[in-house]
Amino acid sequence: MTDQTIVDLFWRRSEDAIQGTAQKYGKYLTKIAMNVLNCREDSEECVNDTYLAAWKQIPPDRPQKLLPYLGRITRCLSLNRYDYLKAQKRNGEFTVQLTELEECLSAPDTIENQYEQGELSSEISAFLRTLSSDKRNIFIRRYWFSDSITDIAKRFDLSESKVKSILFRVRKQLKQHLESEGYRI
Amino acid sequence: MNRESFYLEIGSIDDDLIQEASEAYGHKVHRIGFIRLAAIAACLCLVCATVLFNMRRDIIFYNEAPAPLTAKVLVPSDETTVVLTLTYQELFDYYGLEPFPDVLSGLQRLEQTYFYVYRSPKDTIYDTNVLNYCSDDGRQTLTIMISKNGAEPAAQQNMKKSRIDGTSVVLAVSDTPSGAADCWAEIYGQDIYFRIVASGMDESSFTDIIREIVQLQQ
Repeated sequence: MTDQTIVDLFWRRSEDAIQGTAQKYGKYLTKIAMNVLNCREDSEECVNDTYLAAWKQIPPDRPQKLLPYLGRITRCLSLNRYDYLKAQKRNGEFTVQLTELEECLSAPDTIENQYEQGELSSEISAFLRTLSSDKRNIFIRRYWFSDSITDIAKRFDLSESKVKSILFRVRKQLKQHLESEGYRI
Repeated sequence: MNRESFYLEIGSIDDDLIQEASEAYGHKVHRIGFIRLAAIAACLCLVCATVLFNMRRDIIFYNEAPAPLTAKVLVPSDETTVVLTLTYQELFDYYGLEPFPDVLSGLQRLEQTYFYVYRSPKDTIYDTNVLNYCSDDGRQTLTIMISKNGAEPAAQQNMKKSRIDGTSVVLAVSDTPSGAADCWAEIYGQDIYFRIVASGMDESSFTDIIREIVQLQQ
């Protein structure tokens, strides 16, 4: 089933839309949620909430690509769930990813600067386009899909140390890029 | 902004980038192809044995290190040790080397008035001296420690050695969250020990600098 077909089903308020979404993207969305939460129950709940959110938002939304659209919802729900969970239940691997991302911040937890919605993410996108495709994809697999270092190394046929080096340098470059563009985050 | 907010901002990057990453995989090395290439190279080596023997092939390998290891300094610091000051030219006369250039791979040497060697009561000379280089915008820095008799190498025994222009070198890259240093190297050659630490540059640029330093000794 193509994305266009599934979106049309949403617009027609057909419950086949949910079934089609689950068949095509259920595995991806569960993987994203599991990478953040490391708990099957919580992940399934987030994925189900994703379907519900999609049902409520489509229409009026008409996403061109469903994976990024749904993935964003799952990421957001998973992060909320991660924050909600007590400290003992938190996923150590995801905590490491958040710690890595802190390196990109000039001054974490200081007064928030207000940026136009989408402005910062557009700048991040522009930066990612300056990278080679391998480095870009590794970065996105780590910080969008929340893949583990081990999974990324297997996926791209690299050593784990090589993956860590690439991520380390890209994080540094991203920070420098954002600072040079005047973003103080 | 906190890290969770930044994580969410990354979530809003362009869809085509996400789509590309969802379909991206590495490319497996075709081992059969490499065996064939190795066989052809071996034949070429036999035919061109004299030419290949004279070629100096670089072997570059960057070890992973948690942080740039610190060389152990042996310079005595008691009251009986005499400190001798040297100018830049005198320092390199002592080392038996041509003075390093003021500009090294685009980095400018920071001015230093004097350098020092230390003479013990038994007339043994100890030394470790440091040259500092920096880019115009301050983003790239380079520190070169030179010692003839005063420092022990810091590289661990299990670190793999590289070879640049025939000189044995240990290369490493450190994954420090503070970003204090990216690349470092130790060079052992002609009784002089070099320890070079750089920040703000990638491995390729650092390798070029090391090659330049190796060539300065030759």
